[in-house]
Amino acid sequence: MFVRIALTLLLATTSALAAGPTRVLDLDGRAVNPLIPAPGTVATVLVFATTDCPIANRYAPEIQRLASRFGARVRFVLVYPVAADTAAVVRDHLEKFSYSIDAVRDTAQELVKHTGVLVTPEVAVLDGGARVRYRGRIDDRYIEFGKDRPEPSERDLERALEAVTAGRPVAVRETRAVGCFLADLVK
Amino acid sequence: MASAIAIAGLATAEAVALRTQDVPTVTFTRDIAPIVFTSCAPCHRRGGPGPFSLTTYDEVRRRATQVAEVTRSRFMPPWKVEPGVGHYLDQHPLTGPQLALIETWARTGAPRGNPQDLPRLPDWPDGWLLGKPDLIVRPSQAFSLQAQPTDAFRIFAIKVPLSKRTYVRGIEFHPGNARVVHHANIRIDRTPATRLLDEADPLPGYDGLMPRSAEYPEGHFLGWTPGQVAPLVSPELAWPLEPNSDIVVQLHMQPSGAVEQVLPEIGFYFSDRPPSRTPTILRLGSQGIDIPPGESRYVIRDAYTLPVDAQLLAIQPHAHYRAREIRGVADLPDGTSRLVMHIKDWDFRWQHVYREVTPIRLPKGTRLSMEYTYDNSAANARNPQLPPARVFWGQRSKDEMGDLWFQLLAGNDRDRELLTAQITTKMTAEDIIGYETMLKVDPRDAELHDDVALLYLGLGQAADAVRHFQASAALKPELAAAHFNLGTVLAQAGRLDDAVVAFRAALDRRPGYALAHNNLGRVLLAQGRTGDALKHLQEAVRLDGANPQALFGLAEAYAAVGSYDLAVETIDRALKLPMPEALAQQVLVKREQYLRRRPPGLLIELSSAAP
Repeated sequence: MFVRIALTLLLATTSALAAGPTRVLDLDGRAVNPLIPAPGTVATVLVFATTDCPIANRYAPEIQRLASRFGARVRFVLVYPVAADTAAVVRDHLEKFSYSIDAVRDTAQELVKHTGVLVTPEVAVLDGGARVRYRGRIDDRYIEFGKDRPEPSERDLERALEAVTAGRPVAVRETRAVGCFLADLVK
Repeated sequence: MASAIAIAGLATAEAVALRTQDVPTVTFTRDIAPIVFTSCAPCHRRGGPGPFSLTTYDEVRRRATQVAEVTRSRFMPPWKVEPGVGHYLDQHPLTGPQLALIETWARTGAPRGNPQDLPRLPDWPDGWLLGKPDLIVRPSQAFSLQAQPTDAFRIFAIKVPLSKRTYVRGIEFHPGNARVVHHANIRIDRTPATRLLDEADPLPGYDGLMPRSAEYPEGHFLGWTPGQVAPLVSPELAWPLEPNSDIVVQLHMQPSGAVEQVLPEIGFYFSDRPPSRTPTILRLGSQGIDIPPGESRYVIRDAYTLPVDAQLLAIQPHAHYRAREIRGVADLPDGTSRLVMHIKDWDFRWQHVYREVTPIRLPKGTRLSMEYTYDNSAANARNPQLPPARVFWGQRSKDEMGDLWFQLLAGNDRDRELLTAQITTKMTAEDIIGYETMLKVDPRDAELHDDVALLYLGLGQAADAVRHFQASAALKPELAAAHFNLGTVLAQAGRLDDAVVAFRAALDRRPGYALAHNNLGRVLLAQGRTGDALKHLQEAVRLDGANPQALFGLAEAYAAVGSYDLAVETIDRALKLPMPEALAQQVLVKREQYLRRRPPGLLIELSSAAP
C-alpha cells in the first residue's frame, strides 16, 4: 500500500514536469519556464502573490530578506496567477514593494496546479528536478484571519531552504498557508 | 454494513431530489449584497477605513471564501463582546441565518444572480460622517512608515490652534492611510511634555510612551478603532479644549509591506456654550501585574462601590497581548447582578469604546467590579515574548496592563464632586502601585522615584515621599534639585534637622539656587534660628525678586527679628507681583499682623518641589 502511494506521487510529478508550463509569461510577454533551475542554483522558490492581498503584501520585506540570504544558491520567483494582475500592474507592484526578484505571470495557473498552492502568499520550493520539496506558508506569523503572532515562532521556508542548500531532507514538507484564496481569484 | 449502504443510498437520493425541485441557489444580488452592503461596506468601501472594498459583485466574489471564513469565526464584523452582553452603539452582529447564507454562497461558487435583485448601495457622505467639522487638525507632516515586519507605534503632538477655551461635542478621526493605521489612542496634553518629546525626534511624531500628562478630557473617552465614529454628545455634556494644549494621537500601525505615508486628521465639532454636566471616569484595574513565565491563568480583580446614584454611559476595556478574558460586572443593591462587559478572546487591536444605547441606571451602593485573566504561556499565540518571560505592569506593548474604564454620570454636582474625589484617591493609589511596579523592574530610574514621591505627597503620605526622594537623591547625588525635593518633603514630614542637611546639600551643588535658599530660610525660621534664616531669605530674594513666596518668607524673617517696618515694606513689594488669589489673602493677613507688631507664627510655607 505504502509503495503504491509513493509511486503515484512520483508519476504525477514526473508527468507535470514532462509537460512543462507553456503559458507562463515574463513581464515582457515571453514564455518562460521557471521550473528549469537557473545555472548555479540548487533550488527555485516560487512565491505566489496577488497585488491586492494585504497578507501577501505584508510579507514583501521577509521575502526580500530570504532572497538576499539564499540569493547565491536559490532562485526566487514571484508568481502572479490572477489575470487582473497585468504586466503593468505587476511592474507597479514590484516597485511599490521594493522587490528585486524575478516575476512571472501564471494566468493559466499551470504553476498553481503543478505545486498545489491554495492561497497567496504561499511558496513552493523546487529542487533541480522540479520536484516540490516544500509547499506552504513562509512562516507561522498568521494563524488565521485576524489572529497573528507578534513574531513568527516557526520560519518554515527558511528551515526548508537551509535543508535544501545543505543537501539535507526537508523536515516539514507541507504546511497550511493563511491568505487570499486562489480558488476565488482565478474563477 | 447493509444499513450503512442503505443510508448512503438515501442521502444520494435526497440530494438528487433537492436538485430536481430547483431549490433557489443563494445569489449575490438577492441574498448576499443586502448583508454585505449593510454590515461590511460601511468600512470596506473606497475612502473607508477597511483595507479593501466590498461594494460590487466582483469585489466580494474575489474574496468569497475569506468572507465566509472571517464571518464564521466572528472576526468580522469586528465585535469582541460576547452575544447578549450590553446594548451598545454600532453593534450589528450577523445572525445565524445570515452566516449560513454567506457560507452556502461561497461554497456553491459565489453566483451573481439576477441583476434586478441587486439592492442600491447605500450613500456614504464623502469625507466627514458627522458633517463638516468646526476645526480640522493634523500633524504638520506625514509620517513615513517603513516596510518593517513588526507593528509600529507613533505618537504625534498636534497643537490646538485656538485662542480661547472652546467646548467640544465630539471628534471624528480619519486615519490618513487605512492600509496601515489599525487604531488610535487620542488624549489631550495641557503641558508641553508630549510636544517636547515630539520635537526632540527629527521625524514627524516620536516612538515611546505618552507622558502621564496626556489625558482624556475630564469625563470623556477619546479614541478610534476602524468602523467607530462616536456620535456627538449633547451640548450639556461638551468638554473644554484649552488653547496652548496639544492633541496627542498615538497610532498603532500594521506595516503594509511597502513604504507608506501616514497623515491622520481629526475633525472637531464645537458647542456654542459651556456644559452644565461633566461625567466622571472610573478606572478599575491593577497596576501591580507581575506574571510568572508560563502562567496560563493569571487573574487580576478590582472593585468599587458607588457612593451616589449614577448612570453608566460607556465602558472601555484596555489590556495588552497576554490578556485573554475580560469581565465587568455591576452588582446592584437589590441583589441583581449584571454582566456589563465580557470578552472571551481579547484582542489588543480592537479596543473599542462601548457606548450604551440607553444609559444604565446604577443606584448608590452598586458594586462595579472587573476580572481579567492573562495567559503568559507559550500556548498564547499572541504572547510577544517567546519563550515566555516574567512580565510586569507597564505601558509599553510588551508589558501588560489591565484597566476597565467606566464613564459615569452623577445626578447632580454635589454627587459628582463626592464621586470624583473618591475615585481620584482610589486611582492615585493604584497609580502609585504602578510606579512601585516599574521601580521593581528598574529601581535605578530616578525620574520614577520623583514622580511617585509627588503622588504620595498628593495623598498626604509624606514618609513614602521622603523614601522615594531619598532614593532619587542617592541615584543622582550631583543633582541639586534631587536634594531640594528631599529637603522639601522632609520639612513637610516635620523632620526639620534632616531638611536643613538636604537643603545645604542642594546649595553645595548649586549655590545660586533661589528656591533652596528660600526653603532653607523657612525651615531655619521654624527652628528659631532667625539670624541664619534671614541671611538665606535675603539671598533668595536677591537671586529672584519676582517670586512672591521668597518675599513673603523674607518678610517673616524680618518680623521674627523685630524689623516690622522692613517686613511691611517687603510684603508691599510682594503684593505688586502677580500671585494666586489664595496667597494674596494670606499675605494681606500677615501684613495686618506686622502692622500690629505681632511676631509671626511658626508656619512653614515651602515652595513646592520642582525636580
